[in-house]
Amino acid sequence: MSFLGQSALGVDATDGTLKAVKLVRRGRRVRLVGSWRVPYHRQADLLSGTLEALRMFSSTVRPDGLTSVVVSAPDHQHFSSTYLVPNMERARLSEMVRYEVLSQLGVPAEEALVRFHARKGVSEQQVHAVAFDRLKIDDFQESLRAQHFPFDEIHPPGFALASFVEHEHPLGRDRILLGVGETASELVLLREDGVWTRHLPFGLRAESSSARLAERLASEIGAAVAYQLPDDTPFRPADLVLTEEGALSAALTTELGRAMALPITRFGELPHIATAKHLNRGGATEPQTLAMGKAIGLALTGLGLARLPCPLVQGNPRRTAARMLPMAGISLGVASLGLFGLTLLATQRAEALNAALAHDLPGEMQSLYRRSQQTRAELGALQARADDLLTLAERRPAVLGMRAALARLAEVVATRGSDTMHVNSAYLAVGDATHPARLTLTIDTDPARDETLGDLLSEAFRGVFTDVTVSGPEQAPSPKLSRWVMEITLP
Amino acid sequence: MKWLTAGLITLFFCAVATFVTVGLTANERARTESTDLLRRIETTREAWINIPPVSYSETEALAAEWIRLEELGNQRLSMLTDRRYAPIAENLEAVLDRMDLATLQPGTPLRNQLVSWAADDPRTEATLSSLFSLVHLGGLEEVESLDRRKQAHLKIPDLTQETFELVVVSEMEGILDFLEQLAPGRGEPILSVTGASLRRIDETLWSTTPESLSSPPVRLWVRLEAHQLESAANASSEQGL
Repeated sequence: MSFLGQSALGVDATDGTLKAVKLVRRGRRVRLVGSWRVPYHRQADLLSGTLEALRMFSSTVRPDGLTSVVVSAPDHQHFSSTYLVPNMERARLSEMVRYEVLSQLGVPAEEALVRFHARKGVSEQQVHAVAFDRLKIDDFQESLRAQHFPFDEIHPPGFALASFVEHEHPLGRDRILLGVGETASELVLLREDGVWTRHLPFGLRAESSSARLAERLASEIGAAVAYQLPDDTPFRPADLVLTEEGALSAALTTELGRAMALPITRFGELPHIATAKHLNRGGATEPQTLAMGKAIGLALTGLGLARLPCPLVQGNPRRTAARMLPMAGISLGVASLGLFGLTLLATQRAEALNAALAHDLPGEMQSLYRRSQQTRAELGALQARADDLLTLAERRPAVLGMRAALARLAEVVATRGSDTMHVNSAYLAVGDATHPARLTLTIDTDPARDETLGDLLSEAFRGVFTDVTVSGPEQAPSPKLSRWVMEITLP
Repeated sequence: MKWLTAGLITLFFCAVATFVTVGLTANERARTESTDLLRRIETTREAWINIPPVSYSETEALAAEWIRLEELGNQRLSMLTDRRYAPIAENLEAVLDRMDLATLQPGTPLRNQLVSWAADDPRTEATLSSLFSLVHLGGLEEVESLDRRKQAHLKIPDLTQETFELVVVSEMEGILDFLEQLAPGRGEPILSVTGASLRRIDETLWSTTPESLSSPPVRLWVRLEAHQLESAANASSEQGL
């Protein structure tokens, strides 16, 4: 698994050549990003050669912890069969399959490693069971761990080959799958009601002639069909699918087609697996890569896309945990960001609530109201002060009005001739904001002038003072004199 | 990978620690603030009901009007108290000593009264000094009486008030000059007339010619007010004038 997808490495080292492919899955798309090939068939001891090839491969490729590594089980002879079993609980099914396989093999339970894959139907299920030599599988597992080869599963190579063909070229008819390697071959019989696999301990190197090898393979296929498949249903294969090194041999293909009288299917391309532009090829050509059926099937198993997943040894807790790291890391990151975000949101919310409404708004309203009332009260006092100061200043023209009024009166007095006419009194009352300043002039004069004096006085003050009231004549306190009174409103 | 894992775990623990120490506190604070906000809303709602609304624009208009009236009053006050036209402040005794009027000679009742008032209050002394300087400058022939009155027409803030009633005798021209000098605009103390009365004294001396309006002597009764700045009065008091 990577941050953006899931990756798996399928490693097959059962037929004299280590073949490995790396697939990456993103959603429903599968991409082939690398293939490696390490021949070891020339070594005398094939098991040690297998381990040496695996060591070289791991030192070269160094599979990371995020990639699921599925290794094919070393296959010398294994048992394979398919049972039709009514639907039942898994534990009960497991017990029944185990019993059935052991009874067919006739070996003690501790010597056989029994695994199966169940395909559920409506009322019954197909159970594809395999049994390997437990001791050899344990030895192989220990050897891998001893040389620190990282792996997640050990898988039957036959089921891997079947999964590859079912994924890339499903036909829905009876088929024969044959993976012919340098030193061993893997035979898979696909029928509508089951899968049967068989390990053939010979390969390309067993016979110098392709025709003889083809005849030998055909003989083994015939024996397997006769021995392994139930007789209730006829086996009519539609074709023979040839993979591994045998698929690279045109002669073998021809001879095998002739011997089996069947069309031979080889993979010139992978219909459902895209190939990366920059394919990492570790000693494998494109035809060799396309022929790595078992390795591709193992990688498909690691991606969870195998039709027949049946791990013999499953689970490496540390590697499984390591593959959880990206998701765990993302989860931790998201959780951390979430916590930081929650902290930030809580802080911002507290600040927003704090600032939502002024804390002392009622106090401010009260203060504003009092201040406005106080200002209104002070405005009256200030207006009165300004008015009083204006009244005080306006006393000046009132005082000056005395001289102006007397000057106008002097013009009338100038016309008196020998008659008596004099100002008895002048009274000045300075006004205020509501009352204008008033000047009251009292004139005592000869009664002979009474007829014309009123008009003369009015005429004299007109044009200078706007509001002049002339009253008289009246009897003055002095004998033989008339009194005239003028009320003058000063500006 | 190990470093990345360790970094992520450290980041997570930092986030947890931050959330526990800051986030939970902030959350609790937000809850408290929410409760406070509800309480403030309720208090504000009650305030809206109980306190008559006052708009800021209205308050600003009131403040602007307050400033305008304050400045208007200060402007008028500064014009009335402009010291450029104020006479030089003198001691009352010195002013009286320069005058040769009979009623103001040392030992006369009026002089004694004036000196007594001046001794009581420096503001009164300043007013009397200013008043009798004008009497002296106007060349008035006689000062009959000077009385103090308690009643004042204008009581203006920042200004002290005193009211006097003065009776003087002189020719018409001198009387009118003197009366016109008792007008505001000559600085402090601000002397102003609130009422005045002119009367002939002796009818037998009345003339029959137009020019004789200014003669014979005229008796002037004048009621006047004197205003002084409170601050100036305080300063005068401190200086012992």
